[in-house]
Amino acid sequence: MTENAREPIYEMSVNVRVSWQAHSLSTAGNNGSNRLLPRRQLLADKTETDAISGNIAKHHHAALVAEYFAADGSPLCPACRVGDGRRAAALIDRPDYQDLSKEEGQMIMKIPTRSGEYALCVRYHCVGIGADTERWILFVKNQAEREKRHRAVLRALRDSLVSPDGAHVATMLPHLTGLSGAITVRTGVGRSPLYSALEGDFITRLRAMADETCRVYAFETVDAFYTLMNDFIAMSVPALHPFWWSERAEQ
Amino acid sequence: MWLAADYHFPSTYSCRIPMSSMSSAPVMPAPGPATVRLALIRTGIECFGLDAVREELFPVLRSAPVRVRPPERVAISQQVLRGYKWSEDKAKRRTAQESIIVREMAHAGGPMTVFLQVPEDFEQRLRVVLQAIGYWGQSSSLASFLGVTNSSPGAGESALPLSQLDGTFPLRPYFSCLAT
Repeated sequence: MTENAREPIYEMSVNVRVSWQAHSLSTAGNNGSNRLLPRRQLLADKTETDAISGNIAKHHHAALVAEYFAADGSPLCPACRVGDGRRAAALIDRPDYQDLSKEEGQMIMKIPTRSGEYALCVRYHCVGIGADTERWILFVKNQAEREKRHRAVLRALRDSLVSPDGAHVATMLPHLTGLSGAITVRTGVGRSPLYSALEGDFITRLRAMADETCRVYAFETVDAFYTLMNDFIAMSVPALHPFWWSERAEQ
Repeated sequence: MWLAADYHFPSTYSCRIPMSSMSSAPVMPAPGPATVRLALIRTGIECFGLDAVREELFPVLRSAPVRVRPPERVAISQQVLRGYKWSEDKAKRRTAQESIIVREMAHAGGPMTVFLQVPEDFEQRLRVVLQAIGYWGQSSSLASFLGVTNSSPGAGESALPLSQLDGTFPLRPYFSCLAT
């Protein structure tokens, strides 16, 4: 990574196999009982397996990015400033939150605790920082501001993997026991490859896709991932789409 | 000429059957032709800009025959999710209503192939667009490009309108749904 100092990144993908023990990061309601149900997913090979929703991962990522934005002095929209994902009833002063707080007595709940290896894919569209990617209009024209936001996103991404967050972490913080995989980076227009870590040869497959605009960085341990992400935080910048190069040259 | 682009689904995906309920969404095993066209238009704008797509690519994409060969195996599960719906009260104040929704999620075994019949002049540009596709439908329905060749769809392998179904093929392997 360091030999490609300050190289602009158009898109980054994280393809990892992560091991979490004794967690309840994602549940699927209680079906009217006092037993919370774990999230399950049927796979194409006909096995039914434990699963974690990407929605909850995104929710916690958004909260973490908002913290880093606030720390850096980057502007936040009113909803992000108050963590308004409609998930935290207390934050938005919902009437049903008041009802909840008045509830008397305790309810015995059964919460499933699970352990396993999970395949996780994340796509980070770096070029979209400060831009409308539907019409490809750049709104944040100050590149230093874009770089600050880019660093905040990378830090949040790093933290969400090395310090997992999700449902029930107050009482069932997962034990992270393994993290391996590959980060792929596209430096020009196009996609950085993603390949499911459910496939045993996913790192080999990803490595085979490397070319002049696609780099693949494999890692075997959580500390190797952490070091790699720190290198990206220190050395990478969000790319400018070719449509904006002329605007940049005029500045 | 036909272009055939292969895609890997690295995670679960969810291409909702058109006109189905948002709060209880069944899905198709693969994106339909309309979803493919929309994704090509969106990605075309990213690669070549709005003007080039409007003037040159859009007329081709609008009329190009599209065939989709689903992955070899697809497993579909129902997932319970938190959903939000905007509603307006009498004072025109907009509030988000929260509720539980059910949405099916699919997991694929094997690649999916999109076949696109295009004029030869457009081959190179459409290869670039096919290569840059990152998702079908929802942005969380991730797709990863594997490769593109010049090959035409095989008989009985791709999604087709009922009117074009060959009467000599058994209906059993087909997944029937309203796609457009």
